[in-house]
Amino acid sequence: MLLRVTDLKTHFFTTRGVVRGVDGVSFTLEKGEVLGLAGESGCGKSTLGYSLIRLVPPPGRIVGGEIELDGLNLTSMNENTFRREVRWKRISMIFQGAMNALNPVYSIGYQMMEPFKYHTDASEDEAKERIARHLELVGLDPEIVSRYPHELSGGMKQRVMIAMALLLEPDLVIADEPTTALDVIVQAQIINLLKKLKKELGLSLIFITHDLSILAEISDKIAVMYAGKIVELGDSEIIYENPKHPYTQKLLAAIPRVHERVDKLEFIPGAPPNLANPPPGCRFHPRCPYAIKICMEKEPGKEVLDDGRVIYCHNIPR
Amino acid sequence: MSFAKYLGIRIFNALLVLIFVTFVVSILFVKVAEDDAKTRIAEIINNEARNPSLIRLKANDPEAFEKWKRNRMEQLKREFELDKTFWERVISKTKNTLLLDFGNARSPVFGEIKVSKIIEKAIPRTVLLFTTAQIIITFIGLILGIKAAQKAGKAVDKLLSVLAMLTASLPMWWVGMVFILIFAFQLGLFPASSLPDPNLEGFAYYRDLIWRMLLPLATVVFVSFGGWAYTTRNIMITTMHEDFITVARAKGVPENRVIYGHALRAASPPIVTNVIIGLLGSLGGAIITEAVFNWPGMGRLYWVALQQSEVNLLMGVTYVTVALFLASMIIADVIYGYLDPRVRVGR
Amino acid sequence: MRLEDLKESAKDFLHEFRYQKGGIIGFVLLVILVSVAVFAPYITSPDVPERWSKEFWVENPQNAPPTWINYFSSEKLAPHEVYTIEDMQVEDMGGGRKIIKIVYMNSYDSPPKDIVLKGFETTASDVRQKPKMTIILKRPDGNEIVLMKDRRISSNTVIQIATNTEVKNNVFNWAKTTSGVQLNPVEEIKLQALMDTMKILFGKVDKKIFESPVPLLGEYVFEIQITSSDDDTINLSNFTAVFSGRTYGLMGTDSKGRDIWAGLIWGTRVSLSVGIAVAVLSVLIGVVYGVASAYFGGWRDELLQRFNEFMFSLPVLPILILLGAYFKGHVDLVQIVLLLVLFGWVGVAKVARSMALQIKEQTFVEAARALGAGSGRIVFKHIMPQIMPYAFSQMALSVPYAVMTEAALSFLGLGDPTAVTWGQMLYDAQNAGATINGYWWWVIPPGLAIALVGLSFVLLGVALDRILNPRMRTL
Repeated sequence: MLLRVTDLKTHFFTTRGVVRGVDGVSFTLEKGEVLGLAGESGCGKSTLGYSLIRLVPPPGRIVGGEIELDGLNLTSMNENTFRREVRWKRISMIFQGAMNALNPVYSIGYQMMEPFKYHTDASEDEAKERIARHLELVGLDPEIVSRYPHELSGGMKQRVMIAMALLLEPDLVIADEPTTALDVIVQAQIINLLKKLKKELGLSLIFITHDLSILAEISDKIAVMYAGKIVELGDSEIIYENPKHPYTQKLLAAIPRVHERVDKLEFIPGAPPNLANPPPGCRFHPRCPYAIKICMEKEPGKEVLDDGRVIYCHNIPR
Repeated sequence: MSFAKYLGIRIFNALLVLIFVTFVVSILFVKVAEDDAKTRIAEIINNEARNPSLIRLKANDPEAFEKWKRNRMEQLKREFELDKTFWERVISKTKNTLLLDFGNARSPVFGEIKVSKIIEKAIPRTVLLFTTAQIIITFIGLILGIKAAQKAGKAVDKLLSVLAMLTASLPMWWVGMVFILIFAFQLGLFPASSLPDPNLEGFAYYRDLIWRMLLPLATVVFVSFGGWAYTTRNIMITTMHEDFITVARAKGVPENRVIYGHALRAASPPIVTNVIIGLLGSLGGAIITEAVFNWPGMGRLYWVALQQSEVNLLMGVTYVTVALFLASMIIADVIYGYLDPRVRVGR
Repeated sequence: MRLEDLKESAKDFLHEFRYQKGGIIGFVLLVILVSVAVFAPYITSPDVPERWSKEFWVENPQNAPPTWINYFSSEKLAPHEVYTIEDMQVEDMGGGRKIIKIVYMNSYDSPPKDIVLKGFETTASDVRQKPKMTIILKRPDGNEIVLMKDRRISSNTVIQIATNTEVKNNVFNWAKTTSGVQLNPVEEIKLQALMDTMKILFGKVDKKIFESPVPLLGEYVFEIQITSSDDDTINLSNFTAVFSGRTYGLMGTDSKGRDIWAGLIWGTRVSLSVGIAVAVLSVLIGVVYGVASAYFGGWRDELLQRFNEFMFSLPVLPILILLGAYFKGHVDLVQIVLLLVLFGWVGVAKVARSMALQIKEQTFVEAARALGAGSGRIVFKHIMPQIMPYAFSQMALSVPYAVMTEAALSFLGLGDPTAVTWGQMLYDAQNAGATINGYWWWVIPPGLAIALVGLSFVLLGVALDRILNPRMRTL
């Protein structure tokens, strides 16, 4: 087992009260596995991603739970060791805002060189060689190192980001909405690239997106998050073909499918709750068509179904 | 468009502005000079008419006297170029000014009578005072601004914004007056007048110069550093919220390098532009501050020119100030282009 | 509906404003400043602006510090006091003889600089018929000095005790005899020329009376006897005795004897009106210019932008100085406002244009256009309402700039010489060498006043900015 997250809690201490961005999340990830993390905007997926690399923006803070990478406890590690030993070297991240993730005043080469500078004692030539190899891997001309971010297209920048994330061959890559800012064609190219890399490098990946249709293509497991909690977690195919949690069902009903006829796309009425003051009981109950009395009173506990999926629901629709 | 071409266009534009401003200012100037010249001519003729031989002439042959007067008037008008049309004079004034020929002052300033020479002496002193001040301000501003940006919303940050607001409301020259009151008059620590002692030479001269520069320097720094630190803070905060800062942190770049490397470097183009714009913005206050301290630079020249109605001198300093201002804007552009690759390569 | 919208947003605004501490301070300061400006004639006197630039204020001491410095220093200085006839005891002795008594409590280490008697009104035309006046001083130690004997007075008589030759001689002789100081003739002439009459009058009688008189505290009575012939009347209702102080009022005086407090109060009017006029005009012009530029687009936008850039590339103060010099230093306030507006609109126009461009591209504006909304409707219904919040905060933030530039021009002697302005007060102070002579009461208050106006508008502007342009709040 590569990653084990147990009861992780990341809260934001704002002037309007404590916002529970991630509120008791547990899951595990095997080596070479891709976990898709899905949910509406503001459900805590990105916060979960940032928590794993310990870069929750203030006033946010990890307040509880444990993150274990290869048996190494990441939550209790001191900041400096974590920076030196874990960031990028063992966990790297591909960011949401492809447009802005590269520093405009440094050349691509400089920015790709940095991880070597702070994490390895590789010689400059060695580093350059590896940079070139990784750029080729993501389908870019190695000559690009002398260029500046503004000279690249959005898709090229995202490829650079991916190459950069893989440079030190980390145990885990977190991809936070890596395709959101890109147009559809480039999106497809990037997904295909990630699929290829997964196959070739045996990449362990946490793929965060609000777009479930992308997850179907790439992930082995899917975790669906709602209001800071995971509501359903299981093998990709099982979840995709046979969603059990009402929220997952609604999410899937909201995306068009290529191979099936869908008469009408659905939408989920209402909006995710305010995480500073979430509803009691199951957090989804105000929007849930199957809600019964207990849903309003008691938080649903963890339940493992026969097909191996984990679900949190009082009234699983049959 | 290449940066060189862009720069070329900027310089060309600046020259156009300079020519146009000089032209407009020349119109005003020629008008003032005309009134001036008329009174001067009347004065000269009245003076000469007191000559005994002319008094006799006036008594014996009034017509001949009138004739002499007319001739003399014509002659003087030629001398003062009043025989030319208004626009001819404007054009020639514009041309002369553009070529740095400002004519003479009526009485010598800094031991020189030629306006261009006077200005030549004043510029280095102004540059010395205000560049030194700006370097100090930039340095303090950067340190404070970055600290405040790191601790946004905390006490240090709040204190800085209060300080910035307070000092932004103070006229720099008035602070200069208060500093003289406190440090020169009350405490007797510094000289009230910054006019350096011309009798000193070598090391002693420079020591005296620095000694006399301290109070005006302190004034400029005191008034400007708060606002400048606040500007730095705002630019830094904006930059620190950028994604690439998070990326740098995720890459495991040490926090110090994130701030002084990634953030500061990325923020440097607007910071540098702001330094220069700030320098130019403080020009007005600086001019008067020099006058308050008797610092023998451009500001002092303004004061002298206004107090003694030295029209040529005023025209000269204004032209040179405008030219320096335009040049600094171009320098700001060049530095911006150098620091920001987006501008360097194309626009 | 619209009125209700307005009410609603006003309510929101007030609600938000309550959390802006700086804004509240700024607002309170502004209210105080405006009331000072409005009530200036009642706080001081209505003739201040008229008298300010024209004349010496002869009745006042020159360069006198404020009276309250006595609380902070061990040496007590006599304040400026004016005795009118109501403050004196007048006895009519009959036969044209009147005795006026002025009682002066001296509790100061440094006596008044001078005592000025004036305001006699007589009808006598014949010189020999003019009333006669004798002044006797009764000191707390029982000594009596005849300061002046049988001096003929007329309507324009002004007696300055400190410098009057007769008084000087009398006082010198009295001091010499009572103290018994032996003086050789050379010394005597020197001392007589240099002595401070007032210090001797209010000094202890001892050997040091000439060199370093020690103040004698207590009650002094000036007895003024006036004898006039029967057929002529003397009217004393305007008679005043001015004890010219070593200190003066709340803020002291300048080198022309002008009351600095009065100048400060009246300066508020000019400063506020120039500042607000410049700010409002230049922001309005800037917004209209910017929006027009953005709305027209094309070559008109290009042209307007070129001109804007041209204005932006000019250094403001040097050009203003030259223009001021062109007016020969007699720039009246309206001209100053226009000159400042000339340069004030430039920055606002730039920002207004880019804001208008952004708004123009917003979907709802496009939708409105698609629905057939005219350009006037789009500008006034969609663009203006979004720019106005920025304009308001910008107005507040432009005031300090205008106030300071006005002060700077005045300080260079390019202001309106007939107006009472803080910049002009500082110009006078600089020319009189106030800093090197240590006349802090002349230098510090006008600058603080400028700073106060600046500060209140900066506070207000920043608060408005935070409320009205919320996207800036994170900064």
